[in-house]
Amino acid sequence: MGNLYIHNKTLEDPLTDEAILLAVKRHDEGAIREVYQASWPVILQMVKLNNGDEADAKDLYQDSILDFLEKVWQEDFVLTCKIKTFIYSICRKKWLYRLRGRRNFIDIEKYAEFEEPAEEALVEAPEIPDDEQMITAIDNLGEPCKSLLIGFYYEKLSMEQLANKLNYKNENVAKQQKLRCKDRLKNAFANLKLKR
Amino acid sequence: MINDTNKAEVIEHYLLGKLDQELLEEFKQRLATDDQFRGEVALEQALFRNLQVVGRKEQRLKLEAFHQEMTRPAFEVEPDENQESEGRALPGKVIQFPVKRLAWMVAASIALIIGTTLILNPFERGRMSPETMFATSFTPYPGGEITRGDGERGSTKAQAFSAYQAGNYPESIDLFKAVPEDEKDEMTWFFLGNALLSADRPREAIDTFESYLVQYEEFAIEAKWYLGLAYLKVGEETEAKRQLEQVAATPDPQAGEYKGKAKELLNHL
Repeated sequence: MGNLYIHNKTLEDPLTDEAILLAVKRHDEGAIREVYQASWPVILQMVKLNNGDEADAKDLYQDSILDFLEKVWQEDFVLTCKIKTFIYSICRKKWLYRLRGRRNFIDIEKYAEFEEPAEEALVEAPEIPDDEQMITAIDNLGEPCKSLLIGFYYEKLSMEQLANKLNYKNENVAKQQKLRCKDRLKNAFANLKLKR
Repeated sequence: MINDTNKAEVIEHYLLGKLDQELLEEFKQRLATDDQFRGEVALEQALFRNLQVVGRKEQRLKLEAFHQEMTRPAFEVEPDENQESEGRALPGKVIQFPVKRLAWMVAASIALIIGTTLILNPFERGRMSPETMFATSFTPYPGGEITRGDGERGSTKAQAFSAYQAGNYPESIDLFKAVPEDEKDEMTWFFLGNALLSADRPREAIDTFESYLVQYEEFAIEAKWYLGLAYLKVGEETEAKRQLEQVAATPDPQAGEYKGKAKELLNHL
């Protein structure tokens, strides 16, 4: 996917925001790299001007880029401003929250109001393994199950994209494999419960 | 209607926020009254949440790799000296290395990484990508002495060479193109091709070098060398190979440097 991005960039240089966004939606690593590296200097400056250091800036920036990617990967996402403005807005909001009114905020770019996604209500039930145990079980799941489940649930890849990525014959095979992988994970959780 | 057949799918759609209003109401109702169903949803929700955590952690590692790629001096930013201390937004100043120097630094870094890889693992030879070959081989043709006699001081042509020498390739491209037609000569086209290649516009560079080679020959070997690199840049290896083979086969003793470099690249094609 990265090569395709380089190819298009060469032919159509400079790429528009729209083209970059489409490439990011396709999970094109070259496009994600370009977005990441393009906005960093501004965010570093913003944080330094507002009572933070480079380590703060990097932590904030990586969190914000992850939010940006997760937004873009949503099916219904529509960008209504420039990519850089959007990223700046996410970073600004997060940094304002971390400063929490300690000092006036110095803006260096235009920004758009950024709405944080609402947290989903937690469904309470007994006998659920704790998060740490679950993360260990996911980390120990092995491939291709781990890539398949993270690709579907986190990266929001379609079954067709996952079939291509993981070399399954078609999306139905990928779907069946996903169900098996989930069962494996649930069995691992069940074993955790038995050990407690 | 939620039943045993569609239950897993409905729960998944709920977690992905894809349930329609009617099914969502039924889902909430069942959640409030059915303990077993609530347990299944809670497990799926926890699984979903922790897959997000692990996915995010893995994606962050990729971002960290992108971060490490950035050469710190080129990305360092310092606040503008005239900045007011509070409340007003003022643009900062990005410290930039001269483009040429930065290009050298990047090329040198890439060359070092690739060189190390090749030394440590000679079996990697021959597997360099065209893009990498370009990155490790391309440096703009030095423009130092060419400006002498190329137009009056202050003329468009002289300004174009001056911008080229300063590493300001986009400006030099505009200026080279603006040179009056009757003043455009061999050097104008040759350096325009170089400026285009330096400004990451390889397709236009290819057209320019091809035109140059049809009309002129003094810098033919150099033009073929840069044409070969431009083809590598756009991933057209066959055409790149054709140009580099001509450079490698030249009997011109003055072209020894380009011959050697072309032979080296051909080893990887």
